[in-house]
Amino acid sequence: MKPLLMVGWALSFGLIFQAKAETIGDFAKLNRLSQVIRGHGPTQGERAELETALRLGNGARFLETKTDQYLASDQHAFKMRVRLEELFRLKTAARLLGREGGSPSLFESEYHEKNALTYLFTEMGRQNRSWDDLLIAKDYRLFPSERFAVIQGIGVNDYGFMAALIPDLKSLSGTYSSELSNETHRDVRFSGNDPRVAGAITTSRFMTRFVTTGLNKNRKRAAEVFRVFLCDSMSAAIPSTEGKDDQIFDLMLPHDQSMTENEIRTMAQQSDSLHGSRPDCNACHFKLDPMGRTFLTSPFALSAQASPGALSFKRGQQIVKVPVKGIGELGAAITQQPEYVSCQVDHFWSWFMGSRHKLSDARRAQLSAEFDRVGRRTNDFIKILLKQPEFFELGRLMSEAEIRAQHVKTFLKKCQDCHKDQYNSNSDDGSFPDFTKWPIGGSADEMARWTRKISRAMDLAHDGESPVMPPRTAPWRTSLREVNLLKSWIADGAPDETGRRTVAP
Amino acid sequence: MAGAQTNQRFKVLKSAEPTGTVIVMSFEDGREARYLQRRSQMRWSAMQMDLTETLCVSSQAAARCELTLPLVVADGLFIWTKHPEASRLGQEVMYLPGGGQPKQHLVEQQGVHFVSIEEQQRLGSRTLAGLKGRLSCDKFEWLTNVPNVPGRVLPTALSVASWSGETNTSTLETNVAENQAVNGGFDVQLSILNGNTYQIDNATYYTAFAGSPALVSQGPATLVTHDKQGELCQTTFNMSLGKTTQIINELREEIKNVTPVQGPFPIDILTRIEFSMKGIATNAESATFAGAFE
Repeated sequence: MKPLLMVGWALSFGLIFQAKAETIGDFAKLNRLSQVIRGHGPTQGERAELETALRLGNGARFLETKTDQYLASDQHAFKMRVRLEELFRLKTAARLLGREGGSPSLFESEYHEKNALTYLFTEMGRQNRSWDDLLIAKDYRLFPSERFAVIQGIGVNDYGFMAALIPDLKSLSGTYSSELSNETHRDVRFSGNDPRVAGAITTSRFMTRFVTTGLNKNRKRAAEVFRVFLCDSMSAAIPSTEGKDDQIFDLMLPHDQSMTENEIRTMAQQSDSLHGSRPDCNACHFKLDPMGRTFLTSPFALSAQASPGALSFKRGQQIVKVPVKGIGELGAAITQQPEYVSCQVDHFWSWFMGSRHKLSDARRAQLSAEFDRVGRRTNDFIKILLKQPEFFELGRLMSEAEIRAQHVKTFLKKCQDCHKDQYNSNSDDGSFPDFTKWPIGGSADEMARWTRKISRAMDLAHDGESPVMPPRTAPWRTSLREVNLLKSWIADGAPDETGRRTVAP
Repeated sequence: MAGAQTNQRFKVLKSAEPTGTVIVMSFEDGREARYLQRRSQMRWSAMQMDLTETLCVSSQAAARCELTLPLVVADGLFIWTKHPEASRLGQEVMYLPGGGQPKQHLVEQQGVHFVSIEEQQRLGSRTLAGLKGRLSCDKFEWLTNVPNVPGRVLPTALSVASWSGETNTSTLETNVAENQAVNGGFDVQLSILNGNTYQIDNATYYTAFAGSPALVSQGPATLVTHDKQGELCQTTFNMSLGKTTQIINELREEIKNVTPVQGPFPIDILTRIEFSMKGIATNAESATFAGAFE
């Protein structure tokens, strides 16, 4: 009896041990799924259900079912909305709920909750909409929020914003009449080829966030479209290659306190003109200006008249230029670019994998194909990501060399954002190398040359006392910590992630 | 009751009458107050517009223009129509916020109405017919593509695709003040009056910033028109409101002596701003104030 008991005990222990190991993994999976998709952990009931499923050998099936349920939940729709608000640099719903400090006014809450953009963002997850809808959707749910229209006096509500396209909204917008609509909302749909509307970027909230002026010429809006949809961040900095920094700086930020507002505006226009005439500046303006033109007729609300422009950017050494009849065609043109697909894959990767796992070029290409295969549908692509091995992998600890290299690359990325499309008269093809791909310039010699240039430009020898870069006109400054980081990194031979020196110290 | 620092609950009642919408604050204790308006005489005001940049003609065609609009100043106030103290009848309702704060006018803001097409569109042309704004310029090349030479013949009718005005203000997204286009009109139609003046006839759409007129702005104005090739282009002007401000101040003084009446303006956007400043929306069914009214 005793041996049998022993065997029984051993078997039981083995089973328990095995079950326990699996159970721990699956509970962690459930927790991660719930946290990432819904923003909170699973309920006690769900844990109990998982336990039962595991007992019956249905653990994997259960997790799959739960994934579908979570993706169909309001919490997921809300979380995707918050992700999109963060991506677009809008005030997030989480902030409005007081989770990030500060308490919103009633006006703020109403404005942020009841508008076409918030609705579209929420629908992306709720309806498993195609991600392209952010750029090509022609259907909107409009809200006649009164307070947004008149109390704050800032921008117009959805009805006022769209009233030029849908004339009967005019009398309901609050702009023309005190008699606001009794409607809570109105669903509108434009034809599929309407050149005037383009998903998220032709909403009141987007245009109110990224305002324009006669001087700015919608470049701010264009820059945001490039950043969000093509992962092309542009800085407003004016690089210092022709020794005109001081001249431009004085024009941009006049010191004379006695100047009138009009004088300052005139100075700013001169600065803009000087800025626009420089080849360095053209590196960004050849992209921003043609796209900005598509917003030309819609400075404060959406115009019924489309404004032609173009999608223009660099692909390697080639200029891609797609003429468009209006914002609507612009949105469609962007969705047809491979850069758009890989950029959106990057956003999703960052949201669902975090920074623990780097996305290699090969994986990006593979996932881009998957993105297309599922019709670019939001939840369908998320499901693909959730099945990637990295999703349930624990992040490994990074080595000191990796951390240091990552910090240096993060800093050099800021330089790269400005220099990437500029003309480099010292190179054969006129381009600057990617500072975040080492060795910079592709060889040890080039790496050495570039680290010397960086060192001089940042005046590392004097702890950054008189730097040429970033230029005085740039919106950012190098901190002493960053100076020390770059200085010690170059002094140590600019080691890469493996700790291997890329130049002789 | 008067002066008591208590929360006083009231309803906002609205009814349409031939003279316009009537708004009544009806208090639980039986008191009532009616919303009336005061309106100044109409004055013409010319605002200087100096061209600072045009992308419509190859040469920098400096031009000096003037936008002339008729304007009135109006304000609104609540007048007691039912009150237990007979001496208060016909007097303005004052708000006592409590906490040692002085009493306030319930409607504080005076509104400046530039009587122009946007006003006519908002308010109907009943009282404002025939008052059209004008745009005069010493040179019109930026708008018409017609060189400024003797004997030039300007087009009799033109359309400005977009006319926007800038103000330095913050948005609810950033809470940071910056210059931005906030008001203006689309498809603003002009017809020629004489050699250097166009009349502003109509527009298909207008929007205004906080009750201000659509075509007037503190900051620059940008007009999107068509160049010689028929392509859209923009011209920016600095606006100078110096003389206009002076006229507005004069009219603000003037209306203090005007007897408030029902209408002639219907309740418009300005009214709602005034209400809202105290937290009363005209479409609110009821409201409670932490304070009192006397």
